[in-house]
Amino acid sequence: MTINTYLLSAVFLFITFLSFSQQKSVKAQKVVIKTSTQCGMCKEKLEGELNYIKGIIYSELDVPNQKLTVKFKPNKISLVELKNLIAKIGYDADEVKAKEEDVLKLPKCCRPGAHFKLD
Amino acid sequence: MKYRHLILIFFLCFTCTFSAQVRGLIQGYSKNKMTPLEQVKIKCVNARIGTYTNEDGTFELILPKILPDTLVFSAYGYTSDSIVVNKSDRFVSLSIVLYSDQLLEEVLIELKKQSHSILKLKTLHVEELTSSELKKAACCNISESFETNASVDVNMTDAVSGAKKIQMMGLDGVYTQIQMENIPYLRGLQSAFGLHSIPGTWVESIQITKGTGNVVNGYESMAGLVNLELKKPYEMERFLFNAYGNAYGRSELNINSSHNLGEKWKMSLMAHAAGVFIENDYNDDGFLDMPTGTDFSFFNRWDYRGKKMEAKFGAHLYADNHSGGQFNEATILPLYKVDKTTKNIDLFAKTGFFFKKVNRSLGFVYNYKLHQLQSQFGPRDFSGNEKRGYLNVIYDDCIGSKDHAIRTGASFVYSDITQNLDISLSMTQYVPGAFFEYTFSSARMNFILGSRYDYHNLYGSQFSPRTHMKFILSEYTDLRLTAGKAWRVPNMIIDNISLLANSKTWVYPENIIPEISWNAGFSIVQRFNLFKRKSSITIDYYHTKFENQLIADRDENPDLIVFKNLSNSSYSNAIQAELAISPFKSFDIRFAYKLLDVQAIYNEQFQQQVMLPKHRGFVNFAYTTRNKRWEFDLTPAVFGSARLPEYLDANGEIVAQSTSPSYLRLNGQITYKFKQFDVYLGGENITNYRQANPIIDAQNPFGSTFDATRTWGPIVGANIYLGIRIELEKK
Repeated sequence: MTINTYLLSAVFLFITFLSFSQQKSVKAQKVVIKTSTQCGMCKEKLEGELNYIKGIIYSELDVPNQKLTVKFKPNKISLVELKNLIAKIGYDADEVKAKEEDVLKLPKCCRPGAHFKLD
Repeated sequence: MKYRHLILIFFLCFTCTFSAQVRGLIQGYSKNKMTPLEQVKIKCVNARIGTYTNEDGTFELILPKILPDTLVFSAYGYTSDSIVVNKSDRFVSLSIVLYSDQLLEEVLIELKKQSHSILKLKTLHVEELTSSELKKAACCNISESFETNASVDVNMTDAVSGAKKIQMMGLDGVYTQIQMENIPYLRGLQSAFGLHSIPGTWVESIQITKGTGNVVNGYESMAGLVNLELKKPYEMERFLFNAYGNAYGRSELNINSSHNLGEKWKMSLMAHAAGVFIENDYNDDGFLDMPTGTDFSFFNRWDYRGKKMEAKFGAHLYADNHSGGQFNEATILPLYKVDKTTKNIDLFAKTGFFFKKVNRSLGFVYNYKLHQLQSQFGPRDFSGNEKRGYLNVIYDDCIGSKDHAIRTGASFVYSDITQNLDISLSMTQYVPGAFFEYTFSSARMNFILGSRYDYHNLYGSQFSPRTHMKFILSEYTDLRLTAGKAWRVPNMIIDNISLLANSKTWVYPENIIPEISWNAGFSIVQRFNLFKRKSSITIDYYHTKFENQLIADRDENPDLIVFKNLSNSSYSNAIQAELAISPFKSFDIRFAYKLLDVQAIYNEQFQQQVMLPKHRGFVNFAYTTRNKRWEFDLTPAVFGSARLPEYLDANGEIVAQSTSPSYLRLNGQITYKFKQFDVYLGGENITNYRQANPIIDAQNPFGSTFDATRTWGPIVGANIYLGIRIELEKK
């Protein structure tokens, strides 16, 4: 029955880990940011970067509308910092425009104008 | 036929949902060459809906209700184009060519694919498992990859050797053709233990086709085809490190790396080492639950991509050494040992030549294999040697337009298999063959007519016709039909080697003749929206009828295993239903149910194959958190009761036929992603359900009633594992 004990303790360990990692603090804030993203690869790139930043609970990009939804903890990261971060990755975030050098670091298909614009 | 009503109801439901759909192919023209373009953006201007093309340049798009509308095609590096679609264009096929805007840059996009899906465009019903699905059951080799898949079952063959074998439609794994990138693989002597040689970290995706499949890659796909696409130097990660350990003392190490060698050459190395170092006997029968030992497997491949030709070649080497059975060294009596030693070399190459005309190409596939197997089941020794050579030449072209594609070619198989037990079976086979396949595609209907002719040096000629059809009943509903013939020459001893783990005498047939089967079936895929998210239901039915089958009859006499050639006296019916829904965001549930009616004349009457549950099903729950860093997976599976043959108990009394109880097996896994690496923790058989006394008369293994081949349930109890995966993506 040692296996059972192992199993139970592992599950408990994970649950405690889980609850610690999602501890409640200041009320999280949700924002929608208009970006200059282009395609599915931008989604992977942007979400892949943001989801590992401290203070960000999740980020989700709506590709057709270029709208990024971010839920974050304002005591860990501010909205301005968040937008600067997105610009640093290479995308415009509302009024914060990305620098040319950062845009050039993006894969070619993720740069503005890479895909045909309709409107 | 109660199923008939069900089907009728389905048809009624589907036909009322009619609306328009276009599909097509987008190619790019640059440097005087046409190539299919992937990730081309297709947008419907007024309706503001869109899609992207697949890797092969194809797309499907559901048109809006309000027509006409304009479709715009755009891809980086190409001048955008647009066309107007009208009501009359519903269900049409489009062929679009985009011209380079002189920049001549390639469109480089990595695709995020759905992890488990039915490939929509294929005429054949092909289920695909991508690497993200394979990560759901991260232990250990490809036999575990099918844990969350309903079409393929994986079973322990006996209670002592630890060997696992796949089953499709309730038929033994030897009736399923396994191929590695379209090269028939793990055949012959490897059919018993071969799955262990390919770890999950090597696999990019797996395609499962039920039924006979296409004619191009051989004649042996009687129940189905499982194609393994291994990671390719062009697409795989730059570096991967994976370590794994479980509570039963199994540890594994995997390292993959890929290298750029100039513009046209790429190379990759994949290495795998595994071992079981702890002796476990939780059911206290004196026999190891899992054999101890080590496995080494190594794969090296090279890719060349030029303008006019492509080449791939490589080698797969592996060696293993396992030891199971009784392990208590303190006893004076001789121990019943179950040992196995394997050495294998596979060399393969593929070359492809392109022509000026699009869709025309010529491919050569070569494979050479050397295999050595030594195995011991107590007092019985088996040794086998195999040499196999394989050549396949495939020519692709189309007549007039892309709608009429042809595929033709020739193959040659050389196989020299020696099997030594108490008898020695040695067979040298030369099988030249030729095949032809015609594919017609249109907007609402596709069909493939194929046939192959093979000449076997010992058994003469065999003609195998196969046909597949796909009807798009609506843009949400696909109906596929398939029928065909397949055959194989059985390797009697290795195909049944696990039956050596008892004291029964084998009774051999007078001669060995090819096994021939006909398979026919259909599948319906219905996609719909539930909870505002994509859902689907799949129902399929396949019937396999054997013209001749070599069966092992365990019912005739409990002292004997009688091998015989059954003519027109065995069949399999397999019905499967699967429902995939997503009740809330990033939470997917898949329900699967399967009915297997696999019968043959055993002991002079039609009976269900032993140890094969008639009903089984599973539910797979998969949840990913919104930041995609946690992944949870839970799969409870229920196995119905199976028929068990009569046997002799320890006192030599006959115990009558019975049925096994039905049981539940629970597997689960949790993955947490850090930016540079993933950690996963999983449990197998979490409820710790084990077959009680899997070995009959375990105290007396050299006696006349010993039997370790009555396994219907798990031998290994609850098991937990922990693993880490470090991946460096390609720059």
